[in-house]
Amino acid sequence: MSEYQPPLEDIDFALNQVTDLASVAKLEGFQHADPDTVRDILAEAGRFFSEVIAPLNRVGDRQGSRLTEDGVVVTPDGFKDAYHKFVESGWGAAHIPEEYGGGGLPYTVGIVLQEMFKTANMAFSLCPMLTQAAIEALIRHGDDTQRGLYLEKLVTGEWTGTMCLTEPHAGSDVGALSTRAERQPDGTYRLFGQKIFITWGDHDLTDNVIHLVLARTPGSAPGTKGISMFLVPKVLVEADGSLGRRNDLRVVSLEHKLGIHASPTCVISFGDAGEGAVGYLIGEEQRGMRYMFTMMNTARIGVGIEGLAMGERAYQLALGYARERRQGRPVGGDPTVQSPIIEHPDVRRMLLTMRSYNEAMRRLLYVVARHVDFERRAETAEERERHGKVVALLTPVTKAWCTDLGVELSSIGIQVHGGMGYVEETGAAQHYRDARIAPIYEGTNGIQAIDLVLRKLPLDEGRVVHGFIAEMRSVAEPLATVDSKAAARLTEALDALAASTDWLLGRLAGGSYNDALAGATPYLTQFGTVTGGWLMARSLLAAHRMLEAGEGDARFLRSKISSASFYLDQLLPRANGLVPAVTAGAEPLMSLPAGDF
Amino acid sequence: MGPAGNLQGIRQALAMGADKAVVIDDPSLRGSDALLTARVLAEAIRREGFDLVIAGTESTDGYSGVVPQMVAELLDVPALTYATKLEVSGEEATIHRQTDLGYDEVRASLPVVVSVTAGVVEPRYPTFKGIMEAKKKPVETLTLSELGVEPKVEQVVVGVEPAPERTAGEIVEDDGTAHLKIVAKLEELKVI
Repeated sequence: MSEYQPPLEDIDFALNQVTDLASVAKLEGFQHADPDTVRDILAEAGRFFSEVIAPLNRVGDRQGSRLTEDGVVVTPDGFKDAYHKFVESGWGAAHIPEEYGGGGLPYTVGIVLQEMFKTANMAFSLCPMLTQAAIEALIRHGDDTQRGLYLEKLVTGEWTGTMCLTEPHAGSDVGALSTRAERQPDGTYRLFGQKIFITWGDHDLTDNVIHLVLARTPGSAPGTKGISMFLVPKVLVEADGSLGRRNDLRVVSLEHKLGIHASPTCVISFGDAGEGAVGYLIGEEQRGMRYMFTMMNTARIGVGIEGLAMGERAYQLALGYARERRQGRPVGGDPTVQSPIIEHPDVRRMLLTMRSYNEAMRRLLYVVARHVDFERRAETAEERERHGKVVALLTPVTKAWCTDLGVELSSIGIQVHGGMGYVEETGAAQHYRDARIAPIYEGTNGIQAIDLVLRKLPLDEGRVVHGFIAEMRSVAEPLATVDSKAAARLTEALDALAASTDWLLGRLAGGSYNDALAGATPYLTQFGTVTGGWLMARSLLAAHRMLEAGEGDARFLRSKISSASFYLDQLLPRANGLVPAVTAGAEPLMSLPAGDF
Repeated sequence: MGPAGNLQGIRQALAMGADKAVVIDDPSLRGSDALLTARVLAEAIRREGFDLVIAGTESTDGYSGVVPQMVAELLDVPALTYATKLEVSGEEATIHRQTDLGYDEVRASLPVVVSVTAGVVEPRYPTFKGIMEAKKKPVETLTLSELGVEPKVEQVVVGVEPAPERTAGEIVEDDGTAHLKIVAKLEELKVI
């Protein structure tokens, strides 16, 4: 049996009973994504990721990708073959629009495919994920020649893509980057400079790698405003599409990382040989940052999936262990026999915490993805804009809340294993190590919190956030009819969230930005926890409705009610405890002189 | 052959690349024996026309392992069985037939029935495109009368008995002649 079993039942329930996939299938161009077809697709995709991709997770961690003396990046055993099977399967292109050679599935389904790949093998999944970002950049901002030469091969996965942003002195502050691009008489550019943290920057899976590089043209404006985006292929592509000579760029080294060892994190030098790396301008000069922002939402949601992925993987491993491992005797049990540790209340608490948070994250991700589909395809411009604003609001929450939980839950996963969890051979430690990158990259979670408070709360003078809170409130009333205690807890949590929101908006309106920044991170956690509560309430209501109607598998539905109740009764109240930290202001953080720390 | 209500396996085969499926769904096929199964399959295959019929070696419920050979006989074509490898070149099919010691290379002219052994070939995974296209592929459902086969079951189950329980092993105490007793025992069992 594979180490990863896609939780198809919960996926199906979350898609159809909580997210309303059927409404997505009514959008223009998504008619083929009816729930039955989607069920078939996900069952087959799940089998593929479970049988072909998941078994490489451990070997990927142990061997890692490595740089040979000839400057070639070699991936772990089995990755090349599995990647070719992945390309053949078409799962990578399933949610790319049909006009570009993809399968034209909605993002609401695409996100499940991403979830399964990431849960099966997070380090491996980053390769198609970065390719996806390059595809989006080309679709939105490339010209016809660029699309003609590169798009098809990226969509099929025959070539992969990267994003080259970070430099040693330009991390969270991308505007500080110094890689330069010099325009040539023929309209192409020559790039010089060094980029770091280039995920899957080179490898032996494909013949070519297409880099999207942020660089500065001579005389450009300082900061983020002066940045341009260039397409820089590893191997130059002739006008007829054939591969030409190697471009002037090379991998200088790979980082030695805490986790995701199979993913080669490259330092790439452009223009080392002196002639400069040939680059092609994407769109117009000095608009590169703007182009980056258009891809940021889906990229950040994509990283948010990794929180769920590591939480789910850690849960499956811990659950298997808790059922087998015998230690101690439960109260009132047979004193002569050691019981499986799943019989102990504290172990159950750990497992239920993992299980409930995982379900909440899954529902949040799918609901956000549905908003993305409506933002792209809803009938009226007004509707598209409305959904777009919800996506904008929820993106930083999804990214940061889920990835923080990925670390927390994979840590609990180790705890369930006891001492064996700290030993690498059980595999629990890998998930914890892999999960740890997700709160950092694609905008640290601190940056996400700042984005939420400074940029997203003020949208439409606070009407977007308050509209969303009002939408969450609407579930309290029906919830009260089946579980009055849970409904009261949800209302209490929503009141506290509304109060925190108003406090922050008031500080922003009064120009006290440092107060708002000081509360940003606990506020994001509060926001995510309450949003999770709203979605688990919907899950509970759907399960109740189906049980009463005699639909579905009763045992499964009761398990949904169990995890939703646990969340609403025991996890949701954590949010209220954050209010003092959100509303304390900057003074307690800033009053201690830096030298006195 | 089976109830048309559950087409999961059929859909998967279509998604893997088959162009068309024919389902023979008839209540009188319940409890079918190997010969009736072979007659039904042979008739359905004859109706479609064929060059090459590929079958598994045996089903995982009946385990008779004779249906492919029966189908070949009923179609009056050669049967190449227990194939671990199959090559078709022009009008000729060549297989490696698994044996106790290795394999025999066996050839026959088309049309032919080939039965393949389990676990030798890794089936391809259905692709995304394959799954979507499978939705549009024809699945024809036929009854026995439409096929013109009479549901005659000739196999009779005489009795069902549980396998004998395992008996305790024989212990040979070594009084210096144990090796002789063991050799005698092995000779009795005809293993040496």
